[in-house]
Amino acid sequence: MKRRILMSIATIATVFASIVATSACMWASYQPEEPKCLRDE
Amino acid sequence: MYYAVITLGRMVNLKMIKIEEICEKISNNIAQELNLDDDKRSVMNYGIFAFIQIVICIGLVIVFGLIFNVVIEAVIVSFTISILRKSSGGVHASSPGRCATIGTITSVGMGLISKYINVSLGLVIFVGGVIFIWSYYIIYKLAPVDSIAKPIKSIGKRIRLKKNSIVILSVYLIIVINEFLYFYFTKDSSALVYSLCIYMGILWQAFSLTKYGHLLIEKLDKLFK
Repeated sequence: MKRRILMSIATIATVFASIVATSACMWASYQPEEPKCLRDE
Repeated sequence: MYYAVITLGRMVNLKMIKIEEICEKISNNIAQELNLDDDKRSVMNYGIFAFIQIVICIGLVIVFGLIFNVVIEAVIVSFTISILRKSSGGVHASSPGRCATIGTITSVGMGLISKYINVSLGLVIFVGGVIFIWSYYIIYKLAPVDSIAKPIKSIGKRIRLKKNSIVILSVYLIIVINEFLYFYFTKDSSALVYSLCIYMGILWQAFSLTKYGHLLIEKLDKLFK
């Protein structure tokens, strides 16, 4: 059960990170370092 | 008032530093439990932090909007800036706390100005015309403005983001025209107030793309250090 909850959090966070990665910046005027694997090199 | 705002900004700054640490701990724990590699952990950390930061920024605007009795106006300004910002980019604060403070002060401040300024329909149309022409020019010329933390190197992505920014600006224009029509037929002044909120949001976001915008945010950033 705990594993399933953690898996759901991880999935939602990854989807959210992917959505943020497709835009020019995050919602507000602070941009944390984008993970290298999400960058379009 | 000035010292109250500065102190509040510094308090928010400290809290947000802790939130960054908390996000790191959450993602480390989840990654350990699920045996995820470092890439997946960093993506998850990025997503969790993005979500929490967005919730905090919107929450602060709502709370201070309620305190100053401009919640709808402040939320309209905040969403106008942020939706356009996602495609056009712009200058960034050096920490999440300073970002939340600057975002809250600008949204609530612009909400207050929009609500209590007394303007006629003719003046709103004229000012709107000037703001939209200038913003279209700035966005066409400068967007998307990237940052060191999130560089945009792909030309395809740059073109897509520029197009998206122009589409979003055009959607704002349609909304404002509809508000003018609503005001013309109903004489409900809140339509003009909401139009002014959209203007100010667009103006702030377009300004943040310019070098003067960068200088202003840098100065505000140092103020809340």
